[in-house]
Amino acid sequence: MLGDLYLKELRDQRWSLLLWSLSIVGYVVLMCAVYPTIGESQVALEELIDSMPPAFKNYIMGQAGDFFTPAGYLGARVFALLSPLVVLIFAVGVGGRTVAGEEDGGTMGVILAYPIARRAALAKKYLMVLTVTAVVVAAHLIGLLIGVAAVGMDVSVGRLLQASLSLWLLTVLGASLTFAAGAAGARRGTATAVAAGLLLVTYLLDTLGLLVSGLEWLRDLSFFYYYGGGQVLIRGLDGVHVAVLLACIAVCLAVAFPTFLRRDIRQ
Amino acid sequence: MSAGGRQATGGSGGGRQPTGGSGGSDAVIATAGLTKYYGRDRGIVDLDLEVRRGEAFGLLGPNGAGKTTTIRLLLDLLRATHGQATVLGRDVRRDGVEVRRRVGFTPGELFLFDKLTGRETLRFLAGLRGGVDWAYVGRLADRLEADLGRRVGELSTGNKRKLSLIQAFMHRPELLILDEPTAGLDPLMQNEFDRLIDEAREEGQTVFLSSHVLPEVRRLCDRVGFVRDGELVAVEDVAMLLRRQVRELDLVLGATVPADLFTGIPGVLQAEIDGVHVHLHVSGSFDEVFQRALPHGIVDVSSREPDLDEVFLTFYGRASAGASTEGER
Repeated sequence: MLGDLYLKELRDQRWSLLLWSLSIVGYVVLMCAVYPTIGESQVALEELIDSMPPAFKNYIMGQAGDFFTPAGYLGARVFALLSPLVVLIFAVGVGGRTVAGEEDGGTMGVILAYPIARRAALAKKYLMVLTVTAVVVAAHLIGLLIGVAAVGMDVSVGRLLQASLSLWLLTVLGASLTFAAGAAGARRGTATAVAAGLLLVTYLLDTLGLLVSGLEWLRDLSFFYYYGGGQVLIRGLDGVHVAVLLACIAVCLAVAFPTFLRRDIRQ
Repeated sequence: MSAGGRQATGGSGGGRQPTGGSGGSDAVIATAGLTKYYGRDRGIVDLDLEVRRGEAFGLLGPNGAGKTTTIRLLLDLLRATHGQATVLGRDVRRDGVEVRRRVGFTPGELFLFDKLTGRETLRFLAGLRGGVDWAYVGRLADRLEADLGRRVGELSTGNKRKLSLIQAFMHRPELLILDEPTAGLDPLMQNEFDRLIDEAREEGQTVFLSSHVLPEVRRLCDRVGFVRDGELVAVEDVAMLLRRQVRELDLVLGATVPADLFTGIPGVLQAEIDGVHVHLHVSGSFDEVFQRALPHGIVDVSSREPDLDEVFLTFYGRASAGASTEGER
């Protein structure tokens, strides 16, 4: 079990992964369970939304289309903000631990004093990142499927899969940011701050673009726009948006590998 | 570099080739003009070093002299500012994986995987390496009395050191690179470590170790390189070192002795006699000193190990050059 760097990396994450996955299943099922109570207050909520300034109304509807359909509800309450926030916290942590954390702890030098090429070591660590982020997003999907079935929400499973894929891409991107910063030589704290800062700024750009007419172009600069939030549940995956997310991930890797191969390893 | 010793010369290392890589030479480690700066701070400057197959070579110098930098360059954990290094005839940069397959390394700073047990750590590292004889790992662990069942994070420095030594020896490498290998080991285990080194040498393994204490290097090595402030100042045969080394010897004798008791002995450079108390500076053998003292009865003997600065002073007539230079690692 412990003969390989990839397996050791997975093993290192196993308790954290289990805890996060179970919590995420629980949280998503809970979000679904609340859905029926929304219907009861639909009239009041509709009036409230109608009374809002057009910008806010636009914002809320822009995220989800129709708040009261099952897809609209899941889009707005789950996929728009809360789920990306939860899985990104996990992903940024994993991406930071595996490279910057390993180096801060001095064990990167132990591994690389062995007959393993730096490229291979980094690739195995990245493979672990892809795996654990997939597990967490899969847990999220399982929670949705359980919740949707339990409450009897009418949502297409295909759309749930598409939205989950988009969520995974965003998660991988978040992890890739800390991963790349660490590979380029940042300490874990710095790598985490860089990734969190970038994610926050692009989230604000997306929000600002939605709220302020005339600034819609800001959304083009945001990871979250391409992630799509709840839109994917309603309209399906946008191929171009997926391509942009993949390109951002590729940029992270294009920074991570050459810099890591070239530089000194900290003790 | 010649066998007897040399004064390192300065100058640029650009373009020189390490001597070990060519002509079927038996150099296991060869560097030419190897230089590492950390920004403006110097790690090691213009290092020309040759370690021969089967020998034990000690790199001796105070903390921060550049020993660890040299070792980390050989393992390709650091990248040289300029200069070249070959290990086992291979370029450490281009053929790093091949080099590290044939080298066993214990770092000076004991960073290990705190959450794994000793056994899990060795399993993982053996797996990374491949082809490790697990029965041999077990024998090493027994000999060093290593506790493999506990989590590494809970282990004392000495026990971590044992783990680190086991993983360096476990694949019977052609070359052992040991950075301060006995730091934190208790004396009994140091003896066991000495035996491990002896056995390794009997099997033809080459040993390259760093230390900041002279006795260790004297005990284990054939040759010693003195490092100061990032420079290799001299390389000496240990046998030569022993012949020339001056030690302070204090004796308490059973009876008052004449003041000229030790005059005429070639190795005695200085003698102070005050009643039964004798204080000598002796170079080389103690034989004749004890022969002359014995008839008077020897009540107590103590001999002080000279520190590195004193060794330097006796050998080179000067204290460490530029000892105040800051900024080393």
